[in-house]
Amino acid sequence: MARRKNPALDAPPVGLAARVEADVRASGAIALRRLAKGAGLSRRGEALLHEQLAKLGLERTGTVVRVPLARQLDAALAGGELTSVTRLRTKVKGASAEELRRAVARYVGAGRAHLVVREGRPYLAPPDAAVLAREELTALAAGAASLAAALRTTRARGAAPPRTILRADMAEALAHLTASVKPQVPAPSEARGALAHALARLAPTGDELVSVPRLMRALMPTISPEAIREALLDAHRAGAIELRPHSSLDPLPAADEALCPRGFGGAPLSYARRIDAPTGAR
Amino acid sequence: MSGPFDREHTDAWCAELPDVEALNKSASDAVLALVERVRSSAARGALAPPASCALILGPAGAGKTHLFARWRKRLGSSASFALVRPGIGVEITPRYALREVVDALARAVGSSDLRQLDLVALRALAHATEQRSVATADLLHNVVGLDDGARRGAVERALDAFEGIYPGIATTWLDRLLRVPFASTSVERRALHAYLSGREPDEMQLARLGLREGLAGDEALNALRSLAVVAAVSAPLVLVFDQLENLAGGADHGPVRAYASLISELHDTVPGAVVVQMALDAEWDERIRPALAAPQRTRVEGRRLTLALPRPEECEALIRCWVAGLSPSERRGDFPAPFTGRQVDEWCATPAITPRQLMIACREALRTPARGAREEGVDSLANRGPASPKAEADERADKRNGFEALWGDYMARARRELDDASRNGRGLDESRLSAALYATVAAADSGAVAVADRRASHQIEVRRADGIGRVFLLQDTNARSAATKLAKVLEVTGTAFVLRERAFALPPSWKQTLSRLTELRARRPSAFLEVDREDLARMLALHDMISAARSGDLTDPSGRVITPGDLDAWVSTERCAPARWSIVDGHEDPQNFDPLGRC
Repeated sequence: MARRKNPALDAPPVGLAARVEADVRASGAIALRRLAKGAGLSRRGEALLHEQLAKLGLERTGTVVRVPLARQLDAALAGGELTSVTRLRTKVKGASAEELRRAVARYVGAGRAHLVVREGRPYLAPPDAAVLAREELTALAAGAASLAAALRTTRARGAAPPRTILRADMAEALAHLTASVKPQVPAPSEARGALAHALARLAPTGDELVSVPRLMRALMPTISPEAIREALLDAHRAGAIELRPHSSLDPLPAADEALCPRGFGGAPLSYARRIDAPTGAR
Repeated sequence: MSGPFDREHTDAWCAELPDVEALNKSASDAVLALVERVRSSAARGALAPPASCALILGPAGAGKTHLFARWRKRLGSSASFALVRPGIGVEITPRYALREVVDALARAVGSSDLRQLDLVALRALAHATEQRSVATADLLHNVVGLDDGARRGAVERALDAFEGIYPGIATTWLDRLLRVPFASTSVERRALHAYLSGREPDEMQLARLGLREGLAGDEALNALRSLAVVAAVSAPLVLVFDQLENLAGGADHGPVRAYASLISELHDTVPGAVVVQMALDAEWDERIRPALAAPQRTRVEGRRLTLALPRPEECEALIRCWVAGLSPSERRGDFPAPFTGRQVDEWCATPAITPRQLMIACREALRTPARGAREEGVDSLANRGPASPKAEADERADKRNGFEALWGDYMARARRELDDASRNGRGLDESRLSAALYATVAAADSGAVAVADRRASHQIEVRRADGIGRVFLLQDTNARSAATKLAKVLEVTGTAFVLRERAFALPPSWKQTLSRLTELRARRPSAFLEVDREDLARMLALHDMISAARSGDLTDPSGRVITPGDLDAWVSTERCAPARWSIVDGHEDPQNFDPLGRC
C-alpha cells in the first residue's frame, strides 16, 4: 500500500525563523530555495517565514535572503581601511554586480564613503579619510595638463635640435602643482595606522631600513608631514619602530632633510626600522 | 681635559673600557658564541668547524668599534684578534688581509710582553707536543730553554701534526710562524714578520729565513687558512672587518666585489675563523649589498645583526658608567651630579641618540656650565633658531679651528706611522700608499679619477679628459723584485710615473733597477718621483680624514660631526692644499712638474 504524503505546513514551526536568521547572518545570504529545505512549508508557510525574517531585519531579493546590503557595506568598511571595490563582491553576499554598483553609488552619494582610485583601481575609503576636494582635483588636472603640454613641446621633431626645460621652470611648475593640494590633519590614530601599513609595505621582512623621506612621501598625499612626524616619534617612543640618524655617505638633500623628525642637536632622523623584526639586535 | 667623556671614538686596542654590557648584548653575545663554538670543538679534539660570518650594521657612533674592544676584554688571550679597515679605493685581497692580520697579531696581549702571534705559535707547539695543560708562562720557559735541535724537533712535530689533520696547509709559512717564539733578536723578528705578513723581505732577511723569495700572492689565502687552523686549537682567529663603507663607490664596484670574493673564500676554505664585518647600515643596504652576487650575499650576510640605539634606561646606565670614571672632585656629589636630573632626563628622552652623541652632550655640559646648558638641556640644541651674523661668523671660526686641530692630529698620526715603518726598515706599504693616492687625487678637484689596476696593486691609472697617467709604486725592499717591476713598466705604453719614498731611496747597489729607470726615461715620457716624508704624511692624513668622515667618525674637538662634504670644502680652500695631487696637470711634461703641488 502506498504511503500517504504528509500535508504541507501553512505556518513555520516555532523556532524555524530564528534558526534561519542565524544561518543567514553567519553566511551573509542564503538562496531562497535552500532557505527552509526539508521544513515542508506550503507556499503560505514560506510567505509567513519571509515575513518573520523581514521583521528580524533581513532583506529578501528575487533569489536570496540576505543581511541588508547597507549593513554588509557598513561591515566591510568598518575597519577604517581602504576596501577594493573589486574585492567587495567577495565580502558582500547575495548581491549582483549591478546591484552592488548601484549600492556603492548610493553609499558614496550619501557621503558614507569616498570612492578613490589607486593605481587605476577603485577603492572605498571611510568617510573621514583625507581625500582631495573637487576644486583641488580640478586645479591638479589643469596643472597636469599644462605640464603635459610643456613636455609635448620637447618631443624630438625630425632633424631639429633637441629641446628641454629649465630645471628651475620645472621645479616651479611642480611646486605650483603641489601647492594646489592642501595637507589635511588626520586623527592621530589614522596617522599611526597608515604609518604601520606603509612601513609593512616598504619593509616586508622588517629588517630593512626605510628612508623616512620616502615613507613621508608615501603618506603625504593624505596626511600632513607634521602628523606623520608625530606618529613616527610616537611609534619610536612606544618601541614599535626605531628611528635612526642619517648614516649615508650622500648628504641628505635639503628637501628630504626638511621632512625628517629631529634627534640630538637637530640631526635629521632619516631612517626607520621596525624593531619587531626577528633579526633585530639589542 | 682627558677623562671618560673624551672617548667618543673607542680605541679598538684600548686597555681600559668603560662598558655597559646590556647595550648591544645580542650582537655581542652572537660573536662570543661563534668563538665558543670553535673553542669547544678544539676541546673535544674535533676538527675546527667551518668559518662563520657575522655582519653587524649600525649608524655612526652606535658602538661598532666598542664591540671589538668589548670582545677583546671579555675573551682576553682566549682568542686572537685582528682588525682590518679597508683603504679608500683599494681592493682587499688575501695578501692585504694577511698583512693586516699579522700586523694586528703583533700587538701585545693585555699588559704582558707576549704578542698574540707568540701565543698562537706557543700554544700550537704545546698542542702538538702534548703540553696543552701547561700554563703559558711555563710553556714559554720550556720553549725558550730548548736547544736548537730540540726546537727544530718541536716545530717538525707540530708541522706533521697539523699537516696530518689539514692536508695542504702552507707548511713553509707555518714553519716560520712556529719559529716566532724562538726569535731572540729584533732583526730576526722583523724578518719573520715581513715574511709572515706577506711583505717582501729584503735579501738579508730572506737569507736569515733560509728562503729565496717572499710569500707568493697566491699563497696568502692558504697562509690565512693555516693561521686560522693553528689558532683554532687555543685562541680562535677573530677577523674583524670594520668601516666597510670605504669599499663603496666606483662605477664597477671593484672593491666591493673583491671584498665579497675574499669573504666567500674565507667562508668556504678557512675553518676555525670567526669573520665579523661591520659597516654603516644605510651604506651597506644602499651601496654594498646591491653589488653582491647572490652566492656572495648568502655567505657575507650569513648572520646579519642590526645594532639598536640605546633605550632611555640604557642611556642612563651609560651616563652612570662614565660618571663613575670621574674623580670624586669632578663628580661633585651623588648621581646625577655633576649633571642635573633634568639634563639626564632630556638626554635620555632624545629620540635615536647614539652613545657617541650622548657622550658629546655630557662633555659639552661639563665644559660649558656657565652658558646655562645645565638648565637648558638638549632641547636647546635641537631647536636652535636662526643664527645671528655674529653667531654664524663665530661658528665658521670654530669650524676652521676645529679643522686645524684635527689636521694637526692626523698629521701627527701619519708621521708616527711613517716613523714606525722606518724603524722596521721598510717603507710604507704599497696598498696604503695607493689608498692615500686615491684620496689625494679625489681631493685635488682637478676632474681626475684614480683607478686601480686589478692585475697589480702597485699600478694606478689617473684618468682625465685629456689623457691617462700611469703611476707605478716602487716601494720594493728587494732589488730583484724592483727590477722585475720596472721591466713590466717598460712594456706599458703611455706616460709613466714611478713613485718611491725619498727616505727609502734606491740603493746604488741596485744597478739593474737603476739602469731600467734610465732606460724608461730614455724611451718615453716618464718621471721618477721621490716623495718627501712630509708630503707623504699629508697624503696619509688626508686619506685617513676622508675615510673617517665617510664612516661618520670625524668630529671636531667640540664633538661636531664633520661630513665628507664639509671636509671636501675645507680641503679645497685651506691648509692641506699642499697635499693635493696634481700629477695629471703636469703629465704632458713629466720631467718638469711638481707632483704634489708643494707650497
